[in-house]
Amino acid sequence: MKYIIINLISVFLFIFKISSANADLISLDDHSLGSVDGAGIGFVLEDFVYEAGSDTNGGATFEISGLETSTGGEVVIGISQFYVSGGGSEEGDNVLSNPVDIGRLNNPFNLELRDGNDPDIGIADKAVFEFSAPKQGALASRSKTALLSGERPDMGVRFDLNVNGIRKQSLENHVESVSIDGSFIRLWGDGNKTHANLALNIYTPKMTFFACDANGINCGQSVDFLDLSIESELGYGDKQPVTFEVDGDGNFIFEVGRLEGPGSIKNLCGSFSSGARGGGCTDSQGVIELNKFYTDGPKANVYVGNVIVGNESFGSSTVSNLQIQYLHVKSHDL
Amino acid sequence: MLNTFSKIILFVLLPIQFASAQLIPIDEAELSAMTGQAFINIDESHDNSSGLDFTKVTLGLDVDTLLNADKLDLGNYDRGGAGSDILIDNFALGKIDSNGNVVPFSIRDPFIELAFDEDAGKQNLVGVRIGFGGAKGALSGTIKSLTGNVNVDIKDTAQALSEADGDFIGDILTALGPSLLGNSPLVASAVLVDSAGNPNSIRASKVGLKNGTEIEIDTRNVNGFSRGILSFTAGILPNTYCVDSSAWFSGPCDTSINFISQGCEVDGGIATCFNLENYNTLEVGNKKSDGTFDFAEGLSLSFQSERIAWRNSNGVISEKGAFLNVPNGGLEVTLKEALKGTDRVRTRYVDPYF
Repeated sequence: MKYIIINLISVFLFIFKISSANADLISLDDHSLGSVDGAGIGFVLEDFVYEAGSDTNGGATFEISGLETSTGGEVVIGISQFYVSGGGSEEGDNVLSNPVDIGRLNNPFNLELRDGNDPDIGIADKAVFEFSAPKQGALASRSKTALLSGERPDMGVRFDLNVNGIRKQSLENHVESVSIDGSFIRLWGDGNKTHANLALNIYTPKMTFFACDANGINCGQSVDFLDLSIESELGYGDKQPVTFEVDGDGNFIFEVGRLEGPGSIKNLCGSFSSGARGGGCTDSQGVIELNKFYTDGPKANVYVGNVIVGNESFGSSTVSNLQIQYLHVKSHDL
Repeated sequence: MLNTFSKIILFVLLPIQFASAQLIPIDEAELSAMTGQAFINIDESHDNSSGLDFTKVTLGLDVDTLLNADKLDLGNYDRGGAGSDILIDNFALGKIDSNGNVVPFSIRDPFIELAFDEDAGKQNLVGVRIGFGGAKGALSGTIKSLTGNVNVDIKDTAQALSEADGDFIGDILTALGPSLLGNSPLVASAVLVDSAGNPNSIRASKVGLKNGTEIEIDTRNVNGFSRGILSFTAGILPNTYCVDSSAWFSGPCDTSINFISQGCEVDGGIATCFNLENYNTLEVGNKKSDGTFDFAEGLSLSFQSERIAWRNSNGVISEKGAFLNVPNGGLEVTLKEALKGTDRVRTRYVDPYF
């Protein structure tokens, strides 16, 4: 049985107008909607704890089935524990009596309809739906690396692997004092499909993975990522939208658009000089726009202060300024 | 059953009209009948020789990408000195062709694999690997340090010997070679080495012919006069020899002439080891006869606390720390490319060297 405690949920609304008239609603076009710039809806979860799974409080089955081995064997992943709690959860042992505030009244999670012409949005003449995590650095207490329990929940999940009806190992992942400040998802439509820009930031002093025996005890050595910082953005306004689709065969398609489509930045290039050195775009305006993309466009940075495998420490790892100019992902049956 | 949080989200989202078409919710009964695509496999296996257990999650995905990163710095710690297991500047996957079109780096069926060493009933996690069922495309970067397995096949013709630099004897060899050998096929295999030509897969900065590796040039179509000169030459050089067919009607050196690499050079002072930095772009994939590339299996990146032979890795042992495995047969260069390096392909629309 899922077990949920939400002692107090503060939802404060800044809705300009809620109309309950009987008259027909008339859709606003994108241009009109684009000029609407409300304060949106902020929400905060205070004293929040979530715990679910088959091993918690005699809970009901919480599992992912229908998976297979490469030879067609049946695989079921049971989720024996999934939790969100305050700091000091001791990898899921101290959850229910350990609530946490997620967001703050003066720096909440936000749902907003924003004007795409805003400089930080960059989606011309469109209304953009934005769901955003608390702003980064708005409060000193939400620094990226501070080990603070308040506002930075612990999260974890325990998967029980069952292959051909035999319960195998139990895999656990725990993240301490996690913050996703500065993350957002922005959605808008172009008449045919939904487009998006995404930012996902994850900061945690420790992310750990380890395995236990089939009973979820007698756990072995872990792989730890200490002082982990992930800052990633996908999509560059309407110049490089992110799209999600499902094709006729039921396979999903995820794409970060190439810069060379109709009306795209690359089309500003003019003729393309093929020289390996000194070649490329020839149009001066195109060069300016593309350099702007390469300098200020979406990037990902990943830093791990220390990677520990078993008892061995392998120091820091860094990926700097990873920039996706094109990404197309399509699923298929194995 | 919706939890309270979901109800709140639902409540605040209801007044927002995303599109003019009416959305009809799917009820729980319909939703429970939905099944996902079979695009995830989970496999468990045990390796008797090492005693390790492996759990592998494979995703049925086709990925095409063009990406750049200023730096990849993995495993930066003291390992008999400061440095990184893997350090690549200006890393890129994929390229932009001469017409300005994206030629993506393609990945098939990525996977994540965990290795466990059971000790007294405890499953100790000793390694984690991210890999690809297949990969092909341009991999660019300035490789400063590499811990891993990179096997480079050098395939060319003897004409390319003219590109080599050597001492006096080497100059004679490179001058005479093409005229004597014509377009005879030349093959050799290069791996990560140290500056003395010893195999070195840990924090290597050079790739080349390990000690004892031979450059073999096919002489079967070379005329008898030239074979005679080659046989004489091989006779006076310490690390060069001819292979004869022993057929009664054939002359000497009628099969191949072989140059053995020692100390990062072959006879004549012709260098056989080169800085990894010289290889600015590597075409990953199995090269076909028409010059195009097919998917190569085995590209992977792993962290492990002990030496591990990962499953289906063709005998490659991943060393402790960060380890990059580039599949055997996945890289092929000409002799000129081996000797002089490879130019970086264009990976950005502007900026002359990206």
